[in-house]
Amino acid sequence: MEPMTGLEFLKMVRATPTLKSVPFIMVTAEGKPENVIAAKAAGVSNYIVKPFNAVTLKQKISAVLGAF
Amino acid sequence: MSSTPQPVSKRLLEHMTQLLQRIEVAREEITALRPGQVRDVHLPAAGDELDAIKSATESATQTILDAAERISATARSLGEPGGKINDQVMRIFEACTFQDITGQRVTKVFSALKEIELTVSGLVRVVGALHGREIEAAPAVAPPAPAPEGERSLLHGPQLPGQQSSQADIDALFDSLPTASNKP
Repeated sequence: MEPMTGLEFLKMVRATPTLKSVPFIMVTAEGKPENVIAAKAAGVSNYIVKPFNAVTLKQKISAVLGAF
Repeated sequence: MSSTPQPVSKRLLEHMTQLLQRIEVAREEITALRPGQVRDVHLPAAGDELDAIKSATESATQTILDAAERISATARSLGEPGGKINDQVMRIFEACTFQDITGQRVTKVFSALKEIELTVSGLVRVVGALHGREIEAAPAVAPPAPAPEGERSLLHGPQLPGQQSSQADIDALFDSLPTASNKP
């Protein structure tokens, strides 16, 4: 996701006062534990690893919006 | 001072002569591999093919997605039968995520090729220098890119089948982690 990574973008969003409350689901091919840990520490709302299906996407969106 | 070599010096000289002979054999074997051709012909050709793969799959995937969206729009106007059509359209959308993963894998292969190219260029220069001349003209090679830092060090791209974490694994880890203090 050039020029910045998804994680960099997440941090930028969370650091922006008008955007920090926006639900943020990361959809990525990066599936190592270190990626999940870094994303959660940066404030991601949920994490989907590719390849994914529509059922998973709907579940995650529902969960995130339910908590929003 | 005696002009007759001492035994230790003679053995050392023999070892060094054998070492030089082995180096010469290695140089000839490496030369026979035509590393210059690998670097200047085969590797660039492989890179071009990878670019073509990436470009072609992107284009074809976009065509498929565009068509699927039109089908979906038409299906919505059909009422209940359209629902069944849209279920299949969703399968098309899901399957097309392959293209993104394929693109990332191609990028990883391309990076590996660049590393091989650097190594081959280094071999050409080192072996040529040992021989006292360049085997083949080796252009100046840029130093390898510095190791990524920060968030970029976490970028590994898609994992190989059988090695990748499942969504269930990801969910279990995610739920076990503390919520960030800056998360709403």
